[in-house]
Amino acid sequence: MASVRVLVVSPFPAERSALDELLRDEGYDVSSWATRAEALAVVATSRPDVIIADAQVSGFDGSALLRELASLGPPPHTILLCPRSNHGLAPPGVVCLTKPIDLAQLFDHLARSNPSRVKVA
Amino acid sequence: MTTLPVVHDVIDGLEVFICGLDNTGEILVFNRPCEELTGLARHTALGKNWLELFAIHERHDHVLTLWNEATTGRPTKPYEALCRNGRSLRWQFSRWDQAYAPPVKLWAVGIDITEEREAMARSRELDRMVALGNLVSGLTHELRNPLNGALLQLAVAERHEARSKAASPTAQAITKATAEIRRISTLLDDFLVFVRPLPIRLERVDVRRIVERSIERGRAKILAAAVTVVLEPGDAASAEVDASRVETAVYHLLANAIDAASETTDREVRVRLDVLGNAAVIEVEDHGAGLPAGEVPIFEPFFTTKQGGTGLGLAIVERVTADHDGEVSYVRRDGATVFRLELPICGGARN
Repeated sequence: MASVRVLVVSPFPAERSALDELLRDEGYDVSSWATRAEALAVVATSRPDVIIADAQVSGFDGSALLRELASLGPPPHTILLCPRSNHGLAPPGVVCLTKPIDLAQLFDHLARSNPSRVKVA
Repeated sequence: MTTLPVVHDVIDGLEVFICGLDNTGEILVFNRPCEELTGLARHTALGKNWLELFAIHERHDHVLTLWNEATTGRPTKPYEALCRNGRSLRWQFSRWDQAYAPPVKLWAVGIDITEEREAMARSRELDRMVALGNLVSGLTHELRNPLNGALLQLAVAERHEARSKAASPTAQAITKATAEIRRISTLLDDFLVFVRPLPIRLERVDVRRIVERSIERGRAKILAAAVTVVLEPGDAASAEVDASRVETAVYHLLANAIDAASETTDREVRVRLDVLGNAAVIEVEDHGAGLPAGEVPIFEPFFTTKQGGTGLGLAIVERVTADHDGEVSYVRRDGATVFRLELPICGGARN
């Protein structure tokens, strides 16, 4: 089975490169980008299964990103990495993880958003 | 020329300070409120210069300019000054060209603005605190981005190390650095709760439910410390409080008790809930070492006796309790440390 495609969008290089490597290590097919525009260009051509995005890059609460994703077809699972806990104010269908994130929790959400996923690594 | 005793009666009866002056500022009329304010009898004040009594710490040229500018029928710009007894007064002057005995040329009319000044100072202080709180809150959130990056990079390094060899010094350093960054993160969380100037939101809730939620929130800590937390049975205790903040306060009391209990053989924390008079009382008890003897500022921010403590837990408890007009206290009783939180049942909140 093909591995799950994950798109990482974060303007913070340390965050982005570490997520890229950790997720690859977990067997995901990862591509990572610094800006929303870059990420959306990728989405337009090849649809990821999951998007992990920094909240800032996605328009504070992810609403801008979601809107743009929706214009490109049914949106993929979206996980937002938020610098502040947003007390459940995330748009429906979006998971918010407060920074610094708990990796186990992130992996758990990824696994749950893709029950059919087979770990390759 | 007219002398009107009735005018003097009126002047004396007003709750404003009124002085009649000649062109040099010599006092010719001195009303009763002026006597009460300065503690000077009228006969003592008459003949003194107004500037001596009411502009003691100020530069006189400013007042003299106002006197020169004074016209009849319209008061000058206000002049604010501190009086000898510490009261703040706001004066206005107007010229007087009626024939009158004594020959008053200038009226000085003042009001006491001490309370107004104090309220303004309080309001400025509050504004400053709110601005500072927002600033700190913004900074705290901003810091989470690099913290996240650092932790994720350490997770990467940890994996590399795990693959190469077991228990290397680098792996230990990574574990320690990770723990330090987690600690910064906890500190930021606590600090945010402490500085965020949120008004409290009162609602009638069952305090027992709040305590249960606090225990639930501490579950990971309870498991890690291998401590038992017992909530003693009792009735529901309904009170008008800010549920989320009281939960935070109780959580911090619990966290302290769990830490203390984890260092003893009696690894138990007991939580009691009672209603006494108008207060809901929550007690958290452990059999740990207790607090150091003597006067220790345990509720001061950043005061801590624990290794690895942020020193904000009890400061948060104190803040939340004060915001509810409640009380927090602790006693050492039969080898137990008991922290006691009393919250008014009928929303004693001050905002």
